[in-house]
Amino acid sequence: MGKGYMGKILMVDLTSQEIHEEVIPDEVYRKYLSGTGLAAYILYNRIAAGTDPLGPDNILGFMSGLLTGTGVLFAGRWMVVGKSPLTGCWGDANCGGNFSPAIKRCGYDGIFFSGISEKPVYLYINNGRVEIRDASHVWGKDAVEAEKMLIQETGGHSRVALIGPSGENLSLISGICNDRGRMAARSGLGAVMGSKKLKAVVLDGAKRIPVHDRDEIKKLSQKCNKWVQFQPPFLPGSMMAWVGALMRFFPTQPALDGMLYKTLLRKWGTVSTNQMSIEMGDAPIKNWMGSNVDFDPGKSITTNSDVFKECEIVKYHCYACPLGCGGICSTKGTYAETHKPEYESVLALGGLCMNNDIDSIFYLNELLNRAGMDTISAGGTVAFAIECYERGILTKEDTDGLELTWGNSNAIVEFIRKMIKREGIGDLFADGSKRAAQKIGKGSLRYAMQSGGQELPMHDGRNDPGFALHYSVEPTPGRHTTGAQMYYEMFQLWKVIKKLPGIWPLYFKGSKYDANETKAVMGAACSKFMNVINGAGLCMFGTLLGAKRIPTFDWINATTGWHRTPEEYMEIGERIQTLKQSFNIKHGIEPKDNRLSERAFGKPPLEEGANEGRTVDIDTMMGDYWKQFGWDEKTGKPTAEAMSRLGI
Amino acid sequence: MYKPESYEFFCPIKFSSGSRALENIPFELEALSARKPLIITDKNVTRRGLVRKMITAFKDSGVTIGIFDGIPDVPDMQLVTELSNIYRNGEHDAIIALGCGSIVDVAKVVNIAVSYNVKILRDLAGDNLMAHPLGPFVLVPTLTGTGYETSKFTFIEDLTFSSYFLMPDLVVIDSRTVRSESLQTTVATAMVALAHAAEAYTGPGKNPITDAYAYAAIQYVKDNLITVLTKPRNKEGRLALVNAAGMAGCAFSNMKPGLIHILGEAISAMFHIASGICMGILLPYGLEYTIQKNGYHTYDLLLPLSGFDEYAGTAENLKAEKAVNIMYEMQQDLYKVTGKKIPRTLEEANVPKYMVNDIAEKVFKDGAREFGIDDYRMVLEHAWEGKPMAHS
Ligand code: SF4
Repeated sequence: MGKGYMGKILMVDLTSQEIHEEVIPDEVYRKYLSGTGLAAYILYNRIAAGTDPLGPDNILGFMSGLLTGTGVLFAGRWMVVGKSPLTGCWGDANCGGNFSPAIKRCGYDGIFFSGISEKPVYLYINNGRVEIRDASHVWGKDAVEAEKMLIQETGGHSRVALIGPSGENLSLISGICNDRGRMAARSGLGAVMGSKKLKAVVLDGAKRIPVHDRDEIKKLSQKCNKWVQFQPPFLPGSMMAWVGALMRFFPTQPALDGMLYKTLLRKWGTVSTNQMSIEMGDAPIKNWMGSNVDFDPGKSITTNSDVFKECEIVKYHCYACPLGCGGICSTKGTYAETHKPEYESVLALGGLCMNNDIDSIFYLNELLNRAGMDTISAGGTVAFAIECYERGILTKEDTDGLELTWGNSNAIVEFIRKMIKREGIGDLFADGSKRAAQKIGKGSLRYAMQSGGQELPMHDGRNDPGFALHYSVEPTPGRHTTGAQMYYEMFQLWKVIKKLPGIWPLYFKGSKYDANETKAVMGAACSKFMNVINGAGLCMFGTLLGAKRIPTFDWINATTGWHRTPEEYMEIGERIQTLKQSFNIKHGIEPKDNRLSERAFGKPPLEEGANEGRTVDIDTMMGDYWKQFGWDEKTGKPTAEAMSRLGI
Repeated sequence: MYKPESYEFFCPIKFSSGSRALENIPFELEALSARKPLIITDKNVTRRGLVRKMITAFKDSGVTIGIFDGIPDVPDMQLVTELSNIYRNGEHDAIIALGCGSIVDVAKVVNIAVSYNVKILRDLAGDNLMAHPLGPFVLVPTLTGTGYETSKFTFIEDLTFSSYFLMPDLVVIDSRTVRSESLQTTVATAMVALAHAAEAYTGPGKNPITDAYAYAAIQYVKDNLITVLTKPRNKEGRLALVNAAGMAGCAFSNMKPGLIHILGEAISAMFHIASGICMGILLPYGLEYTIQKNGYHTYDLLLPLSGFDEYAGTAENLKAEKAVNIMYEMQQDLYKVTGKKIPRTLEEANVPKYMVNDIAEKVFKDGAREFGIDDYRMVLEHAWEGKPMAHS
């Protein structure tokens, strides 16, 4: 009887072109699950300290999840891992689409690449036959075009993960794409793939994915699906700004229930909250120095969720997803269609740069997806460049004649094009804002909004301090899909893990800013839980339904035949987190250096808007968080005691 | 008078225009050996009472007609298959397209499908792949043209068909079916005709017969467009504009697409703006480009635009510039009389500046290699800013 995982990984050395399979003992899965957990185990042991992320010794892994392909819902995420060239830390990125089951159908839980090929290549696996093929003909092609060509030349059924020109040009903010431009965007792992001259991984397999109890999985999935399908009518999109304004206005706020967010996701996708987030202070504006006052509803109306709904041609579901928050939208201009831009992309290319030209946002979304460049980092980098220009640190001469002012969509588009091509001023910014600031000097680093070198996502820690915390303490700094106060509320883990603190249905907003042990417990619980989720290959949006409605732990038990408690799974999450942190320590990272930029935690505080006067006590929060894992609370380094307790 | 060394011209269309032209259709159909036509149109045309007018025209003729009025804005092959079945099951022997745009596109493709076989339709897409004439095809146009109605082209999904057999046998322009349309639609219909005619009149394929068609089309648009916009009740003016559209389509079938057409179509497809509006914006810039590049016969354009006296009284070296200036003035007039609804520049048409390069690249990549990518870019940049080339 199966256990959901394939029990094998594939190792490909691109220098010697040697390929071999490795059997992974059951014990490893029991300790680390699959997905990023298994990857942490492999990479921690095999990437030597001091390895150049763009050199031959870095290892790039494509991981499927423990639950992928088993009949479990939301289990279509794949993860890419490696030492990040952007941050120098543990790097991972997560993506939906249809690539994840393809990894397992080829017989593996993960495919790892080391070495550097002499010429551009792609890996092709077809029913057990593994080949390294020449990719010169698709090198230089954008991710959508190249994917189409590769699918065609391999018989029309393959699933492809690949880089665009950004990854080929070793831009440190490049990602890895699949399914016409969905991207595992963060951590700059596209550059690692580019450095290896690996254009694509093309998979066509048909292996069965064995599980312990298929009937039980089905039963659990059906129950969960009922919650997904329950879709009460909701306010029109035009009202969302007012909902946000109300949330800003009241001194209290209700604990968020993920059913509400699910309703929004199903109707509009992540863009549902665009205007609401701006109004309530969740979305950073004008490179984190502005607010809802600068980007008022009159300006942000162009990013209203209904705008996206109107041009949606068809809804998009990742593999095994009953929710389908995605969509394919028709656009004007060069590209007829694009994946519906995500909230992150719209805000990074929109409010963050004071740009409300929605056509330019659609265009940039597709341009960046095809180039394989992270929309969050691209937006963050442009916002930084604009601030430099407005402050006179950069002149028109420096910007190749571009008037890089707030909201100038023409200049923003041209600037990003230059970044993609590494042309003129674009070359300086193609590696993100921190690298650019280090080269520009003149005190510009303080305007680069980042953690550990990675541009910050579009959730403001001054509104939800949990974001500020997780941007700063996660082994992959600057990630927004690991934890936050609002996620903790929606995960509702306390309903299945009794020792976790519950949340009052209505609480005073001010209490969010108290840095205390309870917050640290909540933060740590989010991190541990998300490690389980990324080991299982689940989509985080599914887990926001709440622990009673989405049976994560029961699904894993039914799939593997294990009989473990939620607490035991949380311990696995803790182990994975500690191993990833140890990876960083091994590579010379000082965790406290990853603290997010000062402006982003309210130093100095904003003088107006939703987050007026707020400063997050980030140093206390970081220490408290580290303590929860038994790591050194001053340095964030895992202690020997914590390591041995977790059996690392 | 320009005398080319050699040329070819083909136009099989019989035009019938006037206030009671519809009544000629039964008789003309008989001449085409058809007695049971299928009228293809859309709901909008039906709503406006035009189908009723057609029925009345056939009243005492003894001809049985079938009517299908479900053509959508974006038709597909499925519809063509359905209509072919209706045609065959109803034992029809001719097609009448009542309207313009997608109505005519579908009618032409259905005509191929019923004359050949719907299954091999895709094999016939391309240039001149039809070996024999199609069934009788009559066009009754409205003032909603896209420039292709009387031409040898038709489009469906991603397919383009091109054959002289696709040109209508008969075009019936009746003032009762040429109703007043919205400002944008009227201008788009007229400007695509003007652009095609101007390019035929000044382009490398110029010959005495395209000249005749183009000359009349240019003059009709120049003399009637503003009047029709300001006085929507002006029937003669509307009739003249539809005649111009018909004639320009014939000229267009006998020339290579010019720069204005190529760019106008590309912008139209990319930004969902009527192609006539795009061509109207590009017209003076495209002509200026022609003057700068090779001269051709732009100076000749002054004759249909301003009449013999002004043409004769203008020095040879100033004729081309004057013709272009008339086009610029026309843009300004349209902008004014339509209350700024007709854009004069690509910026006013909401084409983003950052797209200019992409449009040029796309056009070039899609195979329009008659002009260089820099030429496309130059014309687009000027048309975006509204900056005449002569002054740059
Ligand atoms: S919720 Fe959205 S992102 Fe998550 S799996 Fe479903 S479609 Fe993909």
